[in-house]
Amino acid sequence: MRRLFFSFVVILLLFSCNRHLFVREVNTQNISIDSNAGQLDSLLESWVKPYRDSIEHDMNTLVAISATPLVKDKPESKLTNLVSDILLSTATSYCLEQNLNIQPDIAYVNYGGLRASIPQGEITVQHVFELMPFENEIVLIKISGETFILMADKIAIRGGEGVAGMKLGIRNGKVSSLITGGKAIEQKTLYWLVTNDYIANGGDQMNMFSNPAERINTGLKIRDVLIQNLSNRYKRDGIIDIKEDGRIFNEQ
Amino acid sequence: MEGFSMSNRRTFIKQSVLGGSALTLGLFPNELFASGELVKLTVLHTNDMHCHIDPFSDSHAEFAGRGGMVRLASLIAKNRSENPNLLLLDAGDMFQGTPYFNYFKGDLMLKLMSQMGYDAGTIGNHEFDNGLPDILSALRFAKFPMVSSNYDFSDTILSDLVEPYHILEKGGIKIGIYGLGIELNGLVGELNYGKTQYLDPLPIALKMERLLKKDHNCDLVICLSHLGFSYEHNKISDQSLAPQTRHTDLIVGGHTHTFLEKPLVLKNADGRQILINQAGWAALAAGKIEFIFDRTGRRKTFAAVVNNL
Repeated sequence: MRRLFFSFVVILLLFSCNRHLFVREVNTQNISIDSNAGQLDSLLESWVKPYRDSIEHDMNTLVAISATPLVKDKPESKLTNLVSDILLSTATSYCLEQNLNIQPDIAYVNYGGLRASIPQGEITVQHVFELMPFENEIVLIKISGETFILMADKIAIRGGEGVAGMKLGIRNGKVSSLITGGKAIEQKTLYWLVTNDYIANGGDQMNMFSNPAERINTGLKIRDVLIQNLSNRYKRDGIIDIKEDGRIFNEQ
Repeated sequence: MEGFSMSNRRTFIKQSVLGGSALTLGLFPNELFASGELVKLTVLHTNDMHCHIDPFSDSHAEFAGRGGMVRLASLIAKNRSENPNLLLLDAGDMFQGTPYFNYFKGDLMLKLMSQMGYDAGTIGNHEFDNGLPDILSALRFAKFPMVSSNYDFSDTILSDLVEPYHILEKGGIKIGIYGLGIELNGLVGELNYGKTQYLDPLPIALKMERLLKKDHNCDLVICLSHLGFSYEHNKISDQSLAPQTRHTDLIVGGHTHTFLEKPLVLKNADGRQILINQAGWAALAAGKIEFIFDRTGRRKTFAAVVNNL
Protein backbone atom coordinates (compact mmCIF):
# COMPACT_ATOMS: atom_id res chain seq x y z
CA MET A 1 0.00 0.00 0.00
CA ARG A 2 2.79 2.34 0.96
CA ARG A 3 4.62 1.47 -2.23
CA LEU A 4 1.48 2.09 -4.25
CA PHE A 5 1.05 5.47 -2.63
CA PHE A 6 4.69 6.31 -3.29
CA SER A 7 4.36 5.37 -6.95
CA PHE A 8 1.25 7.47 -7.18
CA VAL A 9 3.10 10.48 -5.79
CA VAL A 10 5.99 9.95 -8.19
CA ILE A 11 3.62 9.69 -11.13
CA LEU A 12 1.82 12.83 -10.04
CA LEU A 13 5.13 14.60 -9.67
CA LEU A 14 6.23 13.54 -13.12
CA PHE A 15 2.92 14.39 -14.65
CA SER A 16 2.95 17.87 -13.20
CA CYS A 17 6.45 18.39 -14.58
CA ASN A 18 5.57 17.08 -17.96
CA ARG A 19 2.75 19.46 -18.40
CA HIS A 20 5.03 22.49 -18.50
CA LEU A 21 7.30 23.58 -21.25
CA PHE A 22 10.67 24.58 -19.95
CA VAL A 23 12.91 27.48 -20.75
CA ARG A 24 16.23 26.45 -22.22
CA GLU A 25 17.69 29.81 -22.92
CA VAL A 26 17.04 33.42 -22.08
CA ASN A 27 18.33 36.43 -23.98
CA THR A 28 17.98 39.91 -22.63
CA GLN A 29 18.54 43.20 -24.30
CA ASN A 30 16.82 46.23 -22.80
CA ILE A 31 16.55 48.84 -25.49
CA SER A 32 16.95 52.60 -25.34
CA ILE A 33 14.23 54.32 -27.36
CA ASP A 34 16.14 56.94 -29.32
CA SER A 35 16.60 57.67 -33.00
CA ASN A 36 18.68 54.49 -33.31
CA ALA A 37 15.77 52.41 -32.11
CA GLY A 38 13.78 53.33 -35.19
CA GLN A 39 11.83 56.00 -36.99
CA LEU A 40 8.50 57.27 -35.81
CA ASP A 41 5.86 54.69 -36.58
CA SER A 42 3.80 56.08 -39.44
CA LEU A 43 0.62 54.26 -38.51
CA LEU A 44 0.60 55.37 -34.88
CA GLU A 45 1.71 58.82 -35.98
CA SER A 46 -1.37 59.06 -38.21
CA TRP A 47 -3.53 58.15 -35.22
CA VAL A 48 -1.91 60.74 -32.97
CA LYS A 49 -1.74 63.64 -35.43
CA PRO A 50 -5.31 64.93 -35.15
CA TYR A 51 -5.05 64.92 -31.35
CA ARG A 52 -1.68 66.66 -31.42
CA ASP A 53 -2.84 69.31 -33.88
CA SER A 54 -5.86 70.10 -31.77
CA ILE A 55 -3.77 71.02 -28.72
CA GLU A 56 -0.66 72.39 -30.40
CA HIS A 57 -1.88 75.96 -30.71
CA ASP A 58 -2.69 76.14 -26.99
CA MET A 59 0.62 74.56 -26.04
CA ASN A 60 2.76 76.96 -28.06
CA THR A 61 1.25 80.08 -26.51
CA LEU A 62 3.89 82.24 -24.83
CA VAL A 63 3.41 82.72 -21.10
CA ALA A 64 6.55 84.63 -20.09
CA ILE A 65 10.30 84.87 -20.53
CA SER A 66 12.61 83.76 -17.77
CA ALA A 67 16.12 85.16 -17.29
CA THR A 68 17.37 81.83 -15.97
CA PRO A 69 16.42 78.16 -16.03
CA LEU A 70 14.07 77.32 -13.17
CA VAL A 71 15.08 73.97 -11.75
CA LYS A 72 13.93 72.37 -8.54
CA ASP A 73 16.51 71.62 -5.91
CA LYS A 74 16.96 71.28 -2.15
CA PRO A 75 16.95 72.78 0.36
CA GLU A 76 15.36 75.54 -1.72
CA SER A 77 15.42 76.51 -5.39
CA LYS A 78 14.07 79.09 -7.77
CA LEU A 79 11.37 76.73 -8.94
CA THR A 80 10.11 75.56 -5.55
CA ASN A 81 10.18 79.16 -4.27
CA LEU A 82 8.35 80.52 -7.31
CA VAL A 83 5.50 78.02 -7.17
CA SER A 84 5.12 78.36 -3.39
CA ASP A 85 5.09 82.17 -3.63
CA ILE A 86 2.44 82.06 -6.34
CA LEU A 87 0.27 79.77 -4.21
CA LEU A 88 0.55 82.08 -1.20
CA SER A 89 -0.13 85.29 -3.13
CA THR A 90 -3.01 83.78 -5.11
CA ALA A 91 -4.65 82.46 -1.94
CA THR A 92 -4.20 85.87 -0.30
CA SER A 93 -5.94 87.59 -3.22
CA TYR A 94 -8.65 84.93 -3.21
CA CYS A 95 -9.42 85.56 0.47
CA LEU A 96 -9.63 89.30 -0.15
CA GLU A 97 -11.92 88.87 -3.14
CA GLN A 98 -14.16 86.48 -1.25
CA ASN A 99 -14.22 88.76 1.85
CA LEU A 100 -13.11 85.85 3.99
CA ASN A 101 -11.14 87.92 6.48
CA ILE A 102 -8.33 85.39 6.32
CA GLN A 103 -4.65 86.16 5.95
CA PRO A 104 -2.87 83.02 4.75
CA ASP A 105 0.42 82.58 6.63
CA ILE A 106 2.40 80.00 4.73
CA ALA A 107 2.40 77.81 1.63
CA TYR A 108 3.67 74.29 1.17
CA VAL A 109 4.39 72.66 -2.20
CA ASN A 110 5.43 69.01 -2.28
CA TYR A 111 8.73 68.60 -4.09
CA GLY A 112 7.58 65.53 -6.01
CA GLY A 113 4.58 67.42 -7.37
CA LEU A 114 6.77 69.63 -9.56
CA ARG A 115 7.27 67.36 -12.54
CA ALA A 116 9.62 69.28 -14.84
CA SER A 117 12.02 72.20 -15.02
CA ILE A 118 11.39 75.48 -16.84
CA PRO A 119 14.08 76.33 -19.39
CA GLN A 120 15.72 79.73 -19.69
CA GLY A 121 13.99 82.00 -22.21
CA GLU A 122 10.48 81.46 -23.52
CA ILE A 123 8.06 79.75 -21.18
CA THR A 124 5.14 78.28 -23.09
CA VAL A 125 1.90 76.76 -21.88
CA GLN A 126 3.48 73.40 -22.71
CA HIS A 127 6.22 74.01 -20.14
CA VAL A 128 3.71 74.80 -17.45
CA PHE A 129 1.77 71.66 -18.30
CA GLU A 130 4.94 69.64 -17.94
CA LEU A 131 5.74 71.33 -14.63
CA MET A 132 2.23 70.87 -13.27
CA PRO A 133 0.42 68.14 -15.17
CA PHE A 134 -1.97 67.39 -12.32
CA GLU A 135 -5.49 68.77 -12.08
CA ASN A 136 -4.86 69.86 -8.50
CA GLU A 137 -6.48 72.91 -6.98
CA ILE A 138 -5.46 75.36 -4.29
CA VAL A 139 -6.74 74.48 -0.84
CA LEU A 140 -6.41 76.40 2.44
CA ILE A 141 -6.29 74.55 5.71
CA LYS A 142 -6.18 75.93 9.24
CA ILE A 143 -3.55 74.08 11.22
CA SER A 144 -2.17 74.28 14.75
CA GLY A 145 1.38 75.35 15.51
CA GLU A 146 1.93 71.76 16.53
CA THR A 147 0.99 70.56 13.03
CA PHE A 148 3.13 73.32 11.53
CA ILE A 149 6.12 71.95 13.43
CA LEU A 150 5.35 68.38 12.31
CA MET A 151 5.33 69.65 8.74
CA ALA A 152 8.68 71.39 9.26
CA ASP A 153 10.10 68.18 10.74
CA LYS A 154 9.05 66.29 7.61
CA ILE A 155 10.52 68.95 5.32
CA ALA A 156 13.77 68.81 7.31
CA ILE A 157 13.95 65.03 7.01
CA ARG A 158 13.46 65.38 3.27
CA GLY A 159 16.18 68.04 3.07
CA GLY A 160 13.85 70.81 1.89
CA GLU A 161 10.72 71.30 -0.22
CA GLY A 162 8.62 74.18 -1.56
CA VAL A 163 7.61 76.72 1.06
CA ALA A 164 6.59 80.37 1.30
CA GLY A 165 5.98 82.66 4.27
CA MET A 166 8.44 80.91 6.55
CA LYS A 167 12.14 80.56 7.21
CA LEU A 168 13.48 77.13 8.06
CA GLY A 169 16.96 76.10 9.16
CA ILE A 170 17.95 72.44 8.91
CA ARG A 171 20.77 70.70 10.71
CA ASN A 172 21.38 66.97 10.28
CA GLY A 173 17.86 66.36 8.97
CA LYS A 174 16.26 68.17 11.91
CA VAL A 175 14.66 71.59 12.29
CA SER A 176 17.21 73.95 13.82
CA SER A 177 15.20 77.16 13.43
CA LEU A 178 11.70 78.00 12.27
CA ILE A 179 9.96 81.35 12.00
CA THR A 180 6.93 82.76 10.24
CA GLY A 181 5.91 86.42 10.12
CA GLY A 182 9.11 87.21 12.05
CA LYS A 183 8.09 85.06 15.01
CA ALA A 184 8.74 81.58 16.36
CA ILE A 185 5.93 79.04 15.99
CA GLU A 186 3.59 78.70 18.95
CA GLN A 187 2.06 75.28 19.49
CA LYS A 188 -1.43 76.53 20.26
CA THR A 189 -1.63 79.28 17.64
CA LEU A 190 -3.61 78.50 14.49
CA TYR A 191 -2.09 79.19 11.08
CA TRP A 192 -3.55 79.22 7.59
CA LEU A 193 -1.58 77.01 5.23
CA VAL A 194 -1.96 77.12 1.44
CA THR A 195 -1.32 73.91 -0.45
CA ASN A 196 -2.93 71.63 -3.03
CA ASP A 197 -5.83 69.24 -2.52
CA TYR A 198 -3.57 66.19 -2.82
CA ILE A 199 -1.51 67.30 0.17
CA ALA A 200 -4.54 68.59 2.11
CA ASN A 201 -6.00 65.10 1.74
CA GLY A 202 -2.95 63.67 3.49
CA GLY A 203 -1.06 62.68 0.32
CA ASP A 204 2.71 62.20 0.12
CA GLN A 205 2.84 61.02 3.74
CA MET A 206 1.71 64.45 4.98
CA ASN A 207 -0.89 62.84 7.20
CA MET A 208 -0.49 65.59 9.80
CA PHE A 209 -2.84 67.64 7.59
CA SER A 210 -5.63 65.09 7.64
CA ASN A 211 -7.88 66.75 10.20
CA PRO A 212 -7.52 70.51 9.91
CA ALA A 213 -9.58 72.91 12.05
CA GLU A 214 -10.98 74.42 8.85
CA ARG A 215 -10.59 73.84 5.13
CA ILE A 216 -11.39 75.98 2.10
CA ASN A 217 -11.41 74.46 -1.38
CA THR A 218 -10.82 77.37 -3.75
CA GLY A 219 -11.51 75.48 -6.96
CA LEU A 220 -8.53 77.32 -8.48
CA LYS A 221 -6.55 74.92 -10.65
CA ILE A 222 -2.87 75.34 -9.88
CA ARG A 223 -1.76 75.04 -13.48
CA ASP A 224 -4.19 77.76 -14.58
CA VAL A 225 -3.01 79.92 -11.69
CA LEU A 226 0.64 79.51 -12.69
CA ILE A 227 -0.07 80.42 -16.32
CA GLN A 228 -2.15 83.45 -15.29
CA ASN A 229 0.33 84.70 -12.71
CA LEU A 230 3.44 84.35 -14.89
CA SER A 231 1.69 85.86 -17.89
CA ASN A 232 0.44 88.89 -15.91
CA ARG A 233 3.81 89.40 -14.33
CA TYR A 234 5.60 89.25 -17.67
CA LYS A 235 3.21 91.75 -19.22
CA ARG A 236 3.64 94.05 -16.23
CA ASP A 237 7.35 93.75 -15.37
CA GLY A 238 9.00 92.14 -18.39
CA ILE A 239 11.50 89.32 -18.14
CA ILE A 240 11.08 87.24 -15.01
CA ASP A 241 14.17 86.91 -12.87
CA ILE A 242 13.68 84.63 -9.88
CA LYS A 243 16.22 84.66 -7.04
CA GLU A 244 16.76 82.30 -4.18
CA ASP A 245 16.39 84.01 -0.81
CA GLY A 246 17.55 81.51 1.80
CA ARG A 247 14.07 80.67 3.12
CA ILE A 248 15.30 77.13 3.72
CA PHE A 249 18.95 76.78 4.62
CA ASN A 250 21.32 74.18 5.95
CA GLU A 251 23.06 75.04 9.21
CA GLN A 252 26.39 73.51 10.07
CA MET B 1 22.52 52.06 -29.55
CA GLU B 2 23.42 54.50 -26.85
CA GLY B 3 22.78 54.26 -23.14
CA PHE B 4 22.27 50.94 -21.54
CA SER B 5 21.63 48.51 -24.31
CA MET B 6 23.71 45.41 -24.08
CA SER B 7 24.83 42.80 -26.49
CA ASN B 8 22.76 39.73 -27.05
CA ARG B 9 23.77 37.08 -24.64
CA ARG B 10 22.89 33.48 -25.04
CA THR B 11 23.20 31.34 -22.03
CA PHE B 12 22.26 27.78 -21.47
CA ILE B 13 20.38 26.81 -18.46
CA LYS B 14 22.03 24.35 -16.25
CA GLN B 15 19.75 24.36 -13.30
CA SER B 16 17.23 21.60 -12.95
CA VAL B 17 14.03 21.35 -11.04
CA LEU B 18 12.92 18.64 -8.63
CA GLY B 19 16.31 16.95 -8.76
CA GLY B 20 15.55 16.65 -12.45
CA SER B 21 18.50 14.38 -13.20
CA ALA B 22 16.47 11.48 -11.86
CA LEU B 23 13.82 12.05 -14.47
CA THR B 24 14.81 10.44 -17.71
CA LEU B 25 13.58 11.12 -21.15
CA GLY B 26 11.66 7.91 -21.52
CA LEU B 27 9.16 8.94 -18.88
CA PHE B 28 7.87 11.90 -20.83
CA PRO B 29 4.88 11.33 -23.05
CA ASN B 30 6.36 12.39 -26.35
CA GLU B 31 3.12 13.63 -27.82
CA LEU B 32 3.35 16.64 -25.52
CA PHE B 33 6.27 17.92 -27.54
CA ALA B 34 6.52 18.72 -31.18
CA SER B 35 9.71 16.95 -32.10
CA GLY B 36 12.91 18.91 -32.58
CA GLU B 37 11.30 22.24 -32.01
CA LEU B 38 12.25 25.25 -29.96
CA VAL B 39 9.78 28.06 -29.47
CA LYS B 40 10.92 31.60 -28.90
CA LEU B 41 8.74 33.99 -26.94
CA THR B 42 9.76 37.65 -27.05
CA VAL B 43 8.55 39.71 -24.10
CA LEU B 44 8.64 43.44 -24.69
CA HIS B 45 7.55 45.66 -21.85
CA THR B 46 7.12 49.25 -20.75
CA ASN B 47 6.14 51.04 -17.57
CA ASP B 48 5.35 54.57 -16.44
CA MET B 49 4.78 55.85 -19.96
CA HIS B 50 2.90 58.81 -18.45
CA CYS B 51 1.28 59.83 -21.74
CA HIS B 52 4.64 60.42 -23.41
CA ILE B 53 3.23 59.77 -26.82
CA ASP B 54 5.71 62.03 -28.60
CA PRO B 55 9.48 62.03 -28.08
CA PHE B 56 10.84 64.68 -25.70
CA SER B 57 11.37 68.02 -27.40
CA ASP B 58 14.77 68.78 -28.88
CA SER B 59 15.28 71.43 -26.19
CA HIS B 60 14.72 69.02 -23.32
CA ALA B 61 17.62 69.18 -20.87
CA GLU B 62 17.93 65.47 -20.20
CA PHE B 63 16.10 63.47 -22.88
CA ALA B 64 16.13 65.66 -26.00
CA GLY B 65 14.55 63.85 -28.94
CA ARG B 66 14.28 60.57 -27.05
CA GLY B 67 11.44 58.35 -25.93
CA GLY B 68 7.79 58.45 -26.91
CA MET B 69 5.27 55.84 -27.92
CA VAL B 70 5.30 56.85 -31.60
CA ARG B 71 8.92 55.73 -31.75
CA LEU B 72 8.37 52.75 -29.45
CA ALA B 73 5.65 51.57 -31.85
CA SER B 74 8.16 51.10 -34.67
CA LEU B 75 10.42 49.07 -32.41
CA ILE B 76 7.47 46.86 -31.51
CA ALA B 77 6.55 46.43 -35.16
CA LYS B 78 10.13 45.48 -36.01
CA ASN B 79 10.28 42.91 -33.21
CA ARG B 80 6.89 41.52 -34.15
CA SER B 81 8.03 41.00 -37.72
CA GLU B 82 11.08 39.13 -36.42
CA ASN B 83 9.06 36.99 -34.05
CA PRO B 84 5.27 36.84 -34.15
CA ASN B 85 5.33 35.20 -30.70
CA LEU B 86 5.60 38.59 -29.08
CA LEU B 87 4.12 39.46 -25.72
CA LEU B 88 3.70 43.17 -25.11
CA LEU B 89 3.15 44.23 -21.51
CA ASP B 90 2.87 47.39 -19.46
CA ALA B 91 3.37 47.78 -15.71
CA GLY B 92 1.18 50.81 -15.06
CA ASP B 93 1.21 54.60 -14.79
CA MET B 94 0.09 55.01 -18.35
CA PHE B 95 -1.76 58.16 -17.32
CA GLN B 96 -0.61 61.68 -16.41
CA GLY B 97 2.43 63.58 -17.54
CA THR B 98 1.73 65.41 -20.79
CA PRO B 99 -1.09 67.66 -22.04
CA TYR B 100 -2.50 64.69 -23.95
CA PHE B 101 -3.78 63.50 -20.60
CA ASN B 102 -5.25 66.85 -19.64
CA TYR B 103 -7.09 67.13 -22.93
CA PHE B 104 -8.05 63.56 -23.69
CA LYS B 105 -7.83 61.83 -20.27
CA GLY B 106 -6.73 58.20 -20.31
CA ASP B 107 -8.88 57.48 -23.34
CA LEU B 108 -6.21 58.34 -25.88
CA MET B 109 -3.54 56.26 -24.11
CA LEU B 110 -5.68 53.15 -24.15
CA LYS B 111 -6.69 53.71 -27.77
CA LEU B 112 -3.02 53.94 -28.76
CA MET B 113 -1.88 51.04 -26.62
CA SER B 114 -4.64 48.92 -28.16
CA GLN B 115 -3.47 49.99 -31.59
CA MET B 116 0.08 49.02 -30.63
CA GLY B 117 -1.12 45.56 -29.71
CA TYR B 118 -0.54 45.45 -25.96
CA ASP B 119 -1.45 42.07 -24.51
CA ALA B 120 -1.93 43.15 -20.89
CA GLY B 121 -1.46 46.08 -18.52
CA THR B 122 -1.89 46.85 -14.86
CA ILE B 123 -3.15 49.73 -12.74
CA GLY B 124 -0.55 52.16 -11.40
CA ASN B 125 -1.19 54.87 -8.83
CA HIS B 126 -1.47 57.62 -11.45
CA GLU B 127 -4.31 55.80 -13.14
CA PHE B 128 -6.37 57.11 -10.19
CA ASP B 129 -5.41 60.77 -10.75
CA ASN B 130 -8.83 61.82 -12.01
CA GLY B 131 -10.73 59.26 -10.03
CA LEU B 132 -12.44 55.98 -10.92
CA PRO B 133 -14.83 57.44 -13.53
CA ASP B 134 -11.90 58.37 -15.76
CA ILE B 135 -10.42 54.87 -15.46
CA LEU B 136 -13.83 53.52 -16.44
CA SER B 137 -13.95 55.88 -19.39
CA ALA B 138 -10.50 54.87 -20.61
CA LEU B 139 -11.16 51.14 -20.23
CA ARG B 140 -13.90 51.41 -22.86
CA PHE B 141 -11.08 51.84 -25.38
CA ALA B 142 -8.83 49.04 -24.15
CA LYS B 143 -8.67 46.03 -26.42
CA PHE B 144 -6.43 44.25 -23.94
CA PRO B 145 -7.04 43.19 -20.34
CA MET B 146 -6.14 45.24 -17.27
CA VAL B 147 -4.82 42.87 -14.66
CA SER B 148 -4.68 43.69 -10.96
CA SER B 149 -4.74 41.01 -8.31
CA ASN B 150 -4.44 43.06 -5.13
CA TYR B 151 -6.75 45.96 -5.90
CA ASP B 152 -10.25 44.79 -5.12
CA PHE B 153 -12.60 46.89 -7.23
CA SER B 154 -15.71 44.85 -6.46
CA ASP B 155 -17.44 47.70 -4.58
CA THR B 156 -16.64 50.22 -7.29
CA ILE B 157 -17.75 51.10 -10.80
CA LEU B 158 -14.74 49.13 -12.08
CA SER B 159 -16.13 45.88 -10.72
CA ASP B 160 -15.55 43.06 -13.25
CA LEU B 161 -13.57 45.34 -15.58
CA VAL B 162 -10.19 44.58 -14.05
CA GLU B 163 -9.07 40.95 -14.07
CA PRO B 164 -7.28 39.35 -11.09
CA TYR B 165 -5.22 37.27 -13.53
CA HIS B 166 -5.11 36.60 -17.22
CA ILE B 167 -3.99 33.61 -19.22
CA LEU B 168 -3.01 33.78 -22.85
CA GLU B 169 -1.15 31.69 -25.37
CA LYS B 170 1.57 32.60 -27.84
CA GLY B 171 2.97 30.01 -30.22
CA GLY B 172 1.82 27.19 -27.97
CA ILE B 173 3.33 28.76 -24.85
CA LYS B 174 0.80 29.24 -22.08
CA ILE B 175 1.44 32.41 -20.16
CA GLY B 176 -0.16 33.39 -16.88
CA ILE B 177 -0.16 37.04 -15.82
CA TYR B 178 -1.06 38.59 -12.50
CA GLY B 179 -0.78 42.19 -11.36
CA LEU B 180 0.31 43.94 -8.18
CA GLY B 181 -0.42 47.57 -7.30
CA ILE B 182 1.16 49.83 -4.72
CA GLU B 183 -0.41 50.87 -1.39
CA LEU B 184 -2.91 53.62 -2.21
CA ASN B 185 -3.32 55.21 1.20
CA GLY B 186 -1.01 58.23 1.46
CA LEU B 187 -0.10 58.09 -2.22
CA VAL B 188 -3.46 58.56 -3.91
CA GLY B 189 -6.19 60.87 -2.64
CA GLU B 190 -8.93 58.89 -0.88
CA LEU B 191 -11.62 60.50 -2.96
CA ASN B 192 -9.86 59.28 -6.09
CA TYR B 193 -9.70 55.60 -5.21
CA GLY B 194 -13.02 55.48 -3.40
CA LYS B 195 -13.94 51.98 -2.28
CA THR B 196 -11.01 50.28 -3.98
CA GLN B 197 -9.48 47.87 -1.47
CA TYR B 198 -5.71 47.51 -1.41
CA LEU B 199 -4.72 43.98 -0.39
CA ASP B 200 -1.32 42.88 0.89
CA PRO B 201 0.65 42.02 -2.28
CA LEU B 202 2.69 39.10 -0.89
CA PRO B 203 -0.06 36.59 -0.05
CA ILE B 204 -1.90 37.57 -3.22
CA ALA B 205 1.25 36.99 -5.29
CA LEU B 206 1.79 33.55 -3.73
CA LYS B 207 -1.81 32.61 -4.36
CA MET B 208 -1.81 33.85 -7.95
CA GLU B 209 1.49 32.28 -9.00
CA ARG B 210 0.42 28.92 -7.62
CA LEU B 211 -2.95 29.16 -9.29
CA LEU B 212 -1.36 30.00 -12.62
CA LYS B 213 1.51 27.52 -12.56
CA LYS B 214 -0.10 24.62 -10.76
CA ASP B 215 -3.84 24.79 -11.40
CA HIS B 216 -3.71 26.33 -14.86
CA ASN B 217 -0.38 24.77 -15.91
CA CYS B 218 1.06 27.93 -17.36
CA ASP B 219 4.51 27.52 -18.86
CA LEU B 220 5.51 31.00 -17.82
CA VAL B 221 4.19 33.15 -14.95
CA ILE B 222 4.66 36.89 -15.16
CA CYS B 223 3.90 39.46 -12.50
CA LEU B 224 3.06 42.98 -13.68
CA SER B 225 4.12 45.03 -10.70
CA HIS B 226 3.69 48.66 -9.86
CA LEU B 227 5.23 48.16 -6.41
CA GLY B 228 8.58 49.72 -7.29
CA PHE B 229 12.04 48.21 -7.82
CA SER B 230 13.42 48.59 -4.30
CA TYR B 231 13.34 50.89 -1.28
CA GLU B 232 15.76 51.74 1.46
CA HIS B 233 13.07 51.41 4.07
CA ASN B 234 10.96 48.42 4.83
CA LYS B 235 8.34 48.61 2.11
CA ILE B 236 7.37 45.84 -0.25
CA SER B 237 9.09 46.09 -3.61
CA ASP B 238 9.93 43.82 -6.52
CA GLN B 239 13.26 43.03 -4.87
CA SER B 240 11.73 42.14 -1.54
CA LEU B 241 8.90 40.16 -3.13
CA ALA B 242 10.90 38.03 -5.57
CA PRO B 243 12.83 35.90 -3.02
CA GLN B 244 9.54 34.94 -1.38
CA THR B 245 7.90 33.62 -4.53
CA ARG B 246 8.02 30.07 -5.90
CA HIS B 247 6.45 30.03 -9.35
CA THR B 248 6.88 33.51 -10.78
CA ASP B 249 9.41 33.60 -13.61
CA LEU B 250 9.50 37.30 -14.36
CA ILE B 251 8.48 40.48 -12.60
CA VAL B 252 7.83 43.31 -15.03
CA GLY B 253 8.16 46.29 -12.74
CA GLY B 254 7.34 49.98 -12.63
CA HIS B 255 6.73 53.00 -10.40
CA THR B 256 10.34 53.82 -9.47
CA HIS B 257 11.24 54.80 -13.08
CA THR B 258 14.27 52.52 -12.81
CA PHE B 259 16.48 52.10 -15.86
CA LEU B 260 18.15 48.70 -15.96
CA GLU B 261 20.78 47.56 -18.41
CA LYS B 262 19.54 44.04 -17.99
CA PRO B 263 17.14 42.27 -15.68
CA LEU B 264 18.14 41.60 -12.10
CA VAL B 265 18.33 37.88 -11.37
CA LEU B 266 17.42 36.75 -7.86
CA LYS B 267 16.79 33.41 -6.23
CA ASN B 268 13.22 32.55 -5.31
CA ALA B 269 12.09 30.69 -2.19
CA ASP B 270 13.07 27.38 -3.79
CA GLY B 271 16.50 28.62 -4.81
CA ARG B 272 15.53 28.96 -8.45
CA GLN B 273 16.07 32.09 -10.44
CA ILE B 274 13.55 34.85 -11.02
CA LEU B 275 13.99 37.89 -13.25
CA ILE B 276 13.08 41.46 -12.33
CA ASN B 277 13.10 44.02 -15.07
CA GLN B 278 12.02 47.64 -15.45
CA ALA B 279 12.28 50.08 -18.36
CA GLY B 280 12.64 53.60 -17.00
CA TRP B 281 9.67 55.75 -17.95
CA ALA B 282 8.18 57.91 -20.74
CA ALA B 283 8.81 55.16 -23.31
CA LEU B 284 12.49 56.06 -23.02
CA ALA B 285 13.25 52.37 -22.93
CA ALA B 286 11.70 49.00 -23.57
CA GLY B 287 12.53 45.87 -21.67
CA LYS B 288 13.21 42.94 -23.93
CA ILE B 289 13.51 39.35 -22.81
CA GLU B 290 13.47 36.34 -25.10
CA PHE B 291 12.51 33.01 -23.59
CA ILE B 292 13.42 30.02 -25.67
CA PHE B 293 11.30 27.06 -24.78
CA ASP B 294 12.37 23.54 -25.44
CA ARG B 295 9.62 21.42 -26.90
CA THR B 296 11.82 18.46 -27.72
CA GLY B 297 11.97 16.90 -24.30
CA ARG B 298 15.41 15.55 -25.17
CA ARG B 299 16.89 17.47 -22.32
CA LYS B 300 16.39 17.14 -18.67
CA THR B 301 13.64 19.04 -17.01
CA PHE B 302 14.62 22.62 -16.64
CA ALA B 303 13.29 25.28 -14.40
CA ALA B 304 11.87 28.22 -16.28
CA VAL B 305 14.69 30.45 -15.21
CA VAL B 306 18.06 31.60 -16.40
CA ASN B 307 21.70 31.28 -15.66
CA ASN B 308 24.64 33.60 -16.17
CA LEU B 309 22.71 36.64 -17.22
